[in-house]
Amino acid sequence: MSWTDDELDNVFREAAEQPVFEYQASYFQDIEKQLPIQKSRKIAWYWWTATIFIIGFVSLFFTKVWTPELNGKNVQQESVPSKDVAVADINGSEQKVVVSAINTNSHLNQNIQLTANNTKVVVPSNKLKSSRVITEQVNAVQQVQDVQSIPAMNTFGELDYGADANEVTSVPVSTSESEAALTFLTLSELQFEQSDRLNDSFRSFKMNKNSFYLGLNAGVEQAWSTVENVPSPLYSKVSVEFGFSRPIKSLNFSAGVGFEATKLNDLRIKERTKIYSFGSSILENSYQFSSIYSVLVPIELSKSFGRHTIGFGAVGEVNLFAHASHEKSVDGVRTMDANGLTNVDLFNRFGLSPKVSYSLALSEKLQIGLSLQTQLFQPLNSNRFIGEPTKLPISGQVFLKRALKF
Amino acid sequence: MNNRIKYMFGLVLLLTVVSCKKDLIEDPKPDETPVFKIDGMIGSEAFTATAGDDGFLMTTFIDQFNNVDVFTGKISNENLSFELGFFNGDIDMDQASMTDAIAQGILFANQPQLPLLTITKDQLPNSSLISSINWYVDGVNVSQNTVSFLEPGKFNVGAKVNFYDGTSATIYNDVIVGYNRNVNCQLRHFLGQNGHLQVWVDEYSQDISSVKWYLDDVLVSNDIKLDTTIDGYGHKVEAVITFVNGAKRTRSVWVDGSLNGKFIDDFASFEANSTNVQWDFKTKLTFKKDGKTYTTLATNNQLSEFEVLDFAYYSTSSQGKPIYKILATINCFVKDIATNEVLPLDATITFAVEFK
Repeated sequence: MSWTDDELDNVFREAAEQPVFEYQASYFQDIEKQLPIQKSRKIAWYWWTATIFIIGFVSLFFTKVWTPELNGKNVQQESVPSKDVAVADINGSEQKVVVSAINTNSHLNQNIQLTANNTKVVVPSNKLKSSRVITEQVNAVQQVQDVQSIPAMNTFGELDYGADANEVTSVPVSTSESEAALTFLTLSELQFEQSDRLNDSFRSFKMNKNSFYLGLNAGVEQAWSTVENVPSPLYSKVSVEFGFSRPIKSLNFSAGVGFEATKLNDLRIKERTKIYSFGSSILENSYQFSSIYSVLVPIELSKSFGRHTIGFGAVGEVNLFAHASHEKSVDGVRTMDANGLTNVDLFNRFGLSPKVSYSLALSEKLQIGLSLQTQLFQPLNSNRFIGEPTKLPISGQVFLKRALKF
Repeated sequence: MNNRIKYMFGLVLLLTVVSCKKDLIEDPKPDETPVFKIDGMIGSEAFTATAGDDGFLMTTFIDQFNNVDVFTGKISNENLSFELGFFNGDIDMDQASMTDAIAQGILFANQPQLPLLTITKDQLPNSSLISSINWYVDGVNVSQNTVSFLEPGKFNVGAKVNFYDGTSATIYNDVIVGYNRNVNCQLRHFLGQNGHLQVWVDEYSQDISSVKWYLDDVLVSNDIKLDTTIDGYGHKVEAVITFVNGAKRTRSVWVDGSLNGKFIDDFASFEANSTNVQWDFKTKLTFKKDGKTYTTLATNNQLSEFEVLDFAYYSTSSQGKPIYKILATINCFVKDIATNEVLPLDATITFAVEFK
């Protein structure tokens, strides 16, 4: 009997399908039972979106355009094309002039409403409590004179002298190139000195008074673990904080609470387990931590020297959770790939970082500064991480503080 | 007021995120201990093998030895191989309880020194009409007139009977030797005048449950006894017999419809005369090391020990067969098949064997 090609094919096919021994995946059944069910986490995008939203939300406090009172002015600006400046005349009455003021914090022209008394002191007209203020239109020449006599306004240098109000073109008398080239910090300093000299309660630096503040910090930190002969990455971190500040004699004490996100670079756990059965398999379990989130409790004692402030303090930390990707593989075959929020059992739950800071007051409500701190407690609480833990990792941050008014 | 709303909103958002469910970081898994391994001595030389280390793999499969299943496990790498097999038992039954037999104790199978069974032409009742018989075992023409079975097994034996008148006929029967038969029987027939044929099962030690009768490969009856009419010269009658105890045998005879005596009787019934050697559920061990092959089959291991310390289900093979893990100690003798050197072999094994 001769076999057909199909019959021969069947014979070889059956033989191939039933080898004497085949290292089938079923041998890994016991291994698979030990493996968690693969699940993909979709919380990462949600969390990052929330984080960005929080940061953006807090950032709004540092922009004048969003604060409620300025926002109200913007509405007013939209309804009134040109703004009035009330200037007190010799007779003590107030006259209203049209000027276009300059926003010192940006190059955008922004109209503000100012009122001047007969001592040529300019205060925002919305701060005037008198209901008897009478304003009227004056010509552009008077307007220029009045404005030039106000140092703070001179510093703005780029005032549009309201020619558009009455179609009279006027050249600023004292506007010079050097004034126009004043830096942002110089402008701020002049503005601050002007406020200080005038002893104006609205212009005094509120960080030195009982006040709440909102802070935004961003910086870098030494990696928490280092691998020999491998350059250590820097961790970037950003935080927002809310606190209270009050003067104690000549010092200023502040305390608050904050939320910090630290982006961890190359902080990994990679473990191999040999699993025996009919042979052996290598189970690789790796975690790649991308970020850790903490609650901060910053306290600081500071001393101001004019616009400059030196502070000493400490930041307590409570680590809340981390974000990590988790990958498992058996003999190089990936069996799990997930990412999401994890607990912080492998990290020290608490941390304490003494810090020194220097800050510069940009305005009566705004401070910018630098801080340097080091973590006293090693952040890593496990030897499972790749590399040697870094002792006293140092971090440097730039911060912005803004006084709040409720 | 607006500020407070903003702060409250931010706080709620923060708390929402903080309170999210978080995955746990798994504890590190320590390396596991090996599952299957052997440690022992052959002669004065120690050996060890651990599945998963040094390239050793534990494999299981069902081998065949003379058409009898041998449930086998082997742990081996390129240099060393330790193979343990358990012969099936009750091979005339559909179901055999291998696990029960192993739990009761294991004996070593020894190669018989003499033939277990010999069938000659002269044993057939009509041998005077037969000029010769060509014997086929498992499809291979092995001898003429006389066939001997040296090893236990279940053989498909074919007899091409050549009659003196030049005619010939061939039938096949399964012959079981070296294993326990749960029933012995013989197919007998009587052909009367006018082609009246009666075929029945004789000398059975167990009650018959059912019989299927095939005449020239066509099912013709399910009665205990075949009663039919035939014509012409030769016809093959086959009976598939199921006994109450679960044994199942198939027997064939050749019937001479011409009434000239040129029939072929049920030669498988001669298996009842075979030597009482039983390999049911016994074991064989094959050890290979440094190019030498040792086996227990060729050595007298009647006094050897195979003590089962633990026997439990382990997993299922890719073919869906259960795999059992055996923990046992072995003290036996093995023979080098090349030099006939006999050496003692002592081993403690944690082994896997695949059963049906």
